[in-house]
Amino acid sequence: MKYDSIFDVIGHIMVGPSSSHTAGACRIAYVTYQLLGDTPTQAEIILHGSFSETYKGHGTDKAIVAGLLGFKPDDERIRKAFFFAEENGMKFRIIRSDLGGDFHPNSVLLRIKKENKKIELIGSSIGGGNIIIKEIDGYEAGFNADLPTLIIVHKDLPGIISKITSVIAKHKINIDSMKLTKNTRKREALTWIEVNSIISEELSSEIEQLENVKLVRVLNV
Amino acid sequence: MFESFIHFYDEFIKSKIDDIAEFIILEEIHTTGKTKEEILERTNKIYETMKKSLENALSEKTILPIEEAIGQSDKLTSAPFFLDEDMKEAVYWTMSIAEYNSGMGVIVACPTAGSSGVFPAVLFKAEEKLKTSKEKSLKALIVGGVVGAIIGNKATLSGSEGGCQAEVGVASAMSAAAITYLAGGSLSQIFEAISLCLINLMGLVCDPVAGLVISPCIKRNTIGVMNAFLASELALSGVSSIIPVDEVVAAMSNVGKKMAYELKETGLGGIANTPTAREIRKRIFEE
Repeated sequence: MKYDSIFDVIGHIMVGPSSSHTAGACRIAYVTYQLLGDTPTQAEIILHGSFSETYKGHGTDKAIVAGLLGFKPDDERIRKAFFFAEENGMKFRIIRSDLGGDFHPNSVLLRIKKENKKIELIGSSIGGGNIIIKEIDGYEAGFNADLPTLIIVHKDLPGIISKITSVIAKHKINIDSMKLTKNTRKREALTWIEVNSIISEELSSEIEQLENVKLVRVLNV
Repeated sequence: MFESFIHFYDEFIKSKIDDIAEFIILEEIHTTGKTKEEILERTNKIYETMKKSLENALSEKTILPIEEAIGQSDKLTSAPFFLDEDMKEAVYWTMSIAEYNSGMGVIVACPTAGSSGVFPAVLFKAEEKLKTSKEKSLKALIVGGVVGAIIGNKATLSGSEGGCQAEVGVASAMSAAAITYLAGGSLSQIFEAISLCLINLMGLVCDPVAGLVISPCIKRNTIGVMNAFLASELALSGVSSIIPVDEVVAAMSNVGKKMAYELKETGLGGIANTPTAREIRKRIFEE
C-alpha cells in the first residue's frame, strides 16, 4: 500500500472494530451495490480466509450486509444491518469457503441480484479500510474504488477503446487511469476507467449505446 | 509524499517556511491538487469526529462479545494512585474510545481502527494541558498524519503484516510527533520522539484473543498513550534516541517481516494462545 496523502492514514471515518474486517468489508459490498445500481433482493456472501474465520466478532457479516444496502463504512446503522436487510426485503446467505490461495486472506465473493440485474464480484480488504476489487463477473480487475470508475464489458475488437474514450473526452472528463482484461474464449473484454469527476447517467448511457458495448457499470464514490 | 524522514527534513529546510504544518500542507496541495481550505476542512472534520467518538464513548454503554471486557474503562474514574489526574484521564479516554470501537462505534482510523483510541486521547489531553488553540491542534493532526504516511510507505501499518508495533506503535509515534509539535518542539525533537516511541514498542506482537479487536487491543491503546507522552517528554527535554528515525523505521519493518505468522493478527499465538484465551474463543464461536 502506498500512502500519497496524510488522509490515507488519518482520514478514514468508520464503524469499528477493524478497519480491514469491518470498514473494508463494508466498502467492498458498497461498491458491489453501486455497480448493481439498486438494492439487491438476494445476496450470497462467500467469505474467504480470515474473513471466514473471524467474521462474527468483527461484525464483517453486518458490515457486508450494510454495504449491500448502500450504507457507507461510517454509517451508525451498520450495527443493525440485519434488521435493515429485512426491512428492505433483502434475503442473504453467509457461506464460509475457500476461494483459493491467490486471494488475500481478507477476501469476499459477493453474488447479488435484483430481477434481471445481477453481479458477481470478488474484493479484498488490504488494511486501513483500503480495498482492491479483484474480479467482476469472472473478469480479472484491480482497482481501489477510491475514484469514480466506469466498468465496461465490450466485444474484443479494434477501435472500440478510442470510441469510448472520445465519449469521455466529449464530456470533458479527465481519465486518471485505464486498464483492460480479456476473456479470449468469449472474445470479450472488461475495461475499467478511473476518472476525476462524478460520472453522469448521460455519459454512461452514451457509452452503453456504442456498437459492441455489452454492459456499462458505474461506480461513483 | 516524502520518501523518508530525512527527505522531509531536507525539503523543509530548503523551503525556508517556519511552520512545519504549513510546509506539510503545501506538500499535500502539491500531491493531491486539493486547496488549503479543503485540506483544513477535512482536518476539521477528522478532529470533530474524534471529539464526538470520545463523547459517545464516555456516555454510551458498549456491548462486547467478550463479556469480561465490558465496562473495564469505567474503573478508571477512580482517584489516581501513581499517575497524575491528567494522565489517568488520558488513559481513561483511550480505553473508552477503544472499547467504543470494539462495539462498532464510529471512529477515525488512526492509523487503524484497532489503534484508534491513542491519537485522540493524547491530542485532546495535550491541548487541554498546554492550553493551545483548536487551530494549533488541527496543525498537530496534520503533523501526525505525515508521520504515519512516511512510516506506512517504508514499513507497514497493518497488524497482519507487521504486528501491533505497526498499529499501536505507529499510533503512538504519530501522537508523540503531534504533541511535540503542539508543545513547540523542533523538527529534530519530533523525529526523536518518533524514534523513541517506535524503539520502545518494537517487536510488539498482534495477538487478539479469539481474533477479535478487544483483548489485548483495548489495553494496548493505553501503552500507546503513555509511551507517546513519555517519548515526547524525553525528546523535548533533549534526550536523543541515538539511532536516526529512518533507521529505526527500517529496523521496525525488518522485525515485522521476521515476526512469526502466529503473531500477526491470526489469533494463534501470544496472548491469543493462552489456555484462558482458547477457552474464550471456544465459548464465543460455539454459541
